[in-house]
Amino acid sequence: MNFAQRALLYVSRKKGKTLGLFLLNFTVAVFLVSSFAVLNASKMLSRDIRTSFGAAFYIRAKTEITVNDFGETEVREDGVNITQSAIDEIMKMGGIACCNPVNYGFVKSDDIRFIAGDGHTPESDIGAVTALSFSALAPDFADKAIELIAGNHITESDRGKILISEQLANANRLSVGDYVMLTHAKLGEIDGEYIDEIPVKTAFVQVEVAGIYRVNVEDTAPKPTAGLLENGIYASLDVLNELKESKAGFYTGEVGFYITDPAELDGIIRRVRSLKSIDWATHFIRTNDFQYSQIADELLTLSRLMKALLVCVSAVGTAVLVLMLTLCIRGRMREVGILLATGISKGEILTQFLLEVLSVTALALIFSHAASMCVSELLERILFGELPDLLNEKTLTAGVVGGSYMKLGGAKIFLIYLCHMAAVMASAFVSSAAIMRLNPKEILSKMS
Amino acid sequence: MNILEARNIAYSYDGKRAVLKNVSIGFETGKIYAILGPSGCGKTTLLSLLGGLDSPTDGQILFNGVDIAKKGLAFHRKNNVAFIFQNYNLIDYMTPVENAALTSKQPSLPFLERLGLTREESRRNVLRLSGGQQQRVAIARALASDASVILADEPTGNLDEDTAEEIADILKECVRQADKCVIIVTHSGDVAKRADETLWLKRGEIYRG
Repeated sequence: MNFAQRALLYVSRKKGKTLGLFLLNFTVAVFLVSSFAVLNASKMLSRDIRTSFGAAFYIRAKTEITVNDFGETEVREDGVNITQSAIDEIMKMGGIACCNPVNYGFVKSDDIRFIAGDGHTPESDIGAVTALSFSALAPDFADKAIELIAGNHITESDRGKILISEQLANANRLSVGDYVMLTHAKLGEIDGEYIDEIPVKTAFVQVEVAGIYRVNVEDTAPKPTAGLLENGIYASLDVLNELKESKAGFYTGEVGFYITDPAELDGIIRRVRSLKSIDWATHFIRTNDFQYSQIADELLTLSRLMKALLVCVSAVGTAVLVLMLTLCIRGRMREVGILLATGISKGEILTQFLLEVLSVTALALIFSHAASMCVSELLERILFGELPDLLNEKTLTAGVVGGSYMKLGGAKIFLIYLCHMAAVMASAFVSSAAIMRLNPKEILSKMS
Repeated sequence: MNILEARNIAYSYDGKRAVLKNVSIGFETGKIYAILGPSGCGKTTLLSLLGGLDSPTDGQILFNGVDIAKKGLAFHRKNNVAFIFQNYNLIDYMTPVENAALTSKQPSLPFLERLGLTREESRRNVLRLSGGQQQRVAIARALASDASVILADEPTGNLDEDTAEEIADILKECVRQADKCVIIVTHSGDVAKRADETLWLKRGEIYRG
């Protein structure tokens, strides 16, 4: 009977020990592959985010707040907008991954009853709309004042999509995928009463609820219905255009430009300021790399956590494996003695042990591969579910292999499995060393 | 002609306590040898040295006139000798057929059947056999190995009187049929009676009985 036959008999007959070894290898392999996948994903995502909008600068028209002769506050916007042609000119300068123009407006809807604010009347049942290209980059989302809890963020390619608050969704029994009809509105005030300055409705647009967000901050100051954070609607840019509240290619809000490399921020700002097409007397520019650093910090923390987890899993897994194999092989001292007494060499016995351990490990790795894919998919949803929404489609398709951040390449998986097998082999050697050092008589003496 | 010979062998633990002193003895095929002596006199040590499980501190073990150290002890254990132990020493995840075939290339079932095991018993896990049946499997393993010398260390020590006599008879019959040399270390007078030669080991020295 050769060593392979003996190994096969041991693996098939000692089911408990084989199963124990299988489960240990299976668990460690799943942990290792999943952790490497998360580590890899955080690196790739960090790179893509950096590539997409490493840092940002914003351009907006100046507003002037004055107090008139009657003691009332007036906001003067000079009617200045950022135009698409100005944006295109800036984008052509290079080094900018994407921009996020914003328009503001108001809407009413027969399908939505807004949360009642200060001095609420059916007339003032109005919600404020922020139309933009990337909702995830809106300051309230970036500051975590609000957070998406269902559905997806609005991205540049979306048309007829809105995000509403959890309270608004609950009050109107709306959920992701529902459609509502919106119409234009303009909030005004007569004798201290809020009114809609557009009584005759001529523009309508049907929109889909793409996501629902939760308001994390509490604001108890009295505000009209349209001023409540809960009544805020984030919409794709086309929505306000359809409602004739904004003109395509003209933006009343702040336009964010996200640059590929934060190190180039100052140089790009200088070049933007030199543009003649923008009247800098009525516009101002501000810079920010907060969003990148906020996300990058989270990813860095995740990456560090995964590295620590990998070290722990590898160390604990190897220690448990050595311990398990040591116990297992010590329990086989009698067998070693018998085999040595029958003239079977130590090398052949060690080869048998290695074959047993490696065959079970190989089987565990095959099964763990499928399990790792499932775990990675689950982790991807939990850890990176929202982040890709921050990136534009170009970045997503250009930077991600097969559309998934958690997918490890075949070569990497092979390398992980190879290292795993090497660790198992080394563990088997270490565990066998104590017995293999003894001569047959010593082993047989210990046995008796 | 001696098939196995101990020539002036000595053995001591840590170079201090001498267990065997200048022992010289020869063994021939077709004979059963019984080695008797008080506990701790070195019987098992002598058997281990003859079987190549350990090396003597002095002297030589010769097989067919050749020092076993020349070809290696593992070679000697694999090709020249076979062991039968008091506690059977069977591999617990193998059936009797597989245990008996451990070092043999020939079918082991005929050996087991000759020793009284049925086909069904021969394919059962060894741990589900009685002590006598397990010792029969150990004997079958020794016989199937084609070794010329069988070294048995208290082969009947764990068995009741009737089974012990039965095993001793089986060994004797096997020796006659297969023309092997059997060296048995024993405390049993009944087993010693069945031997062709009785050897006494006292204070590290050997005497013919």
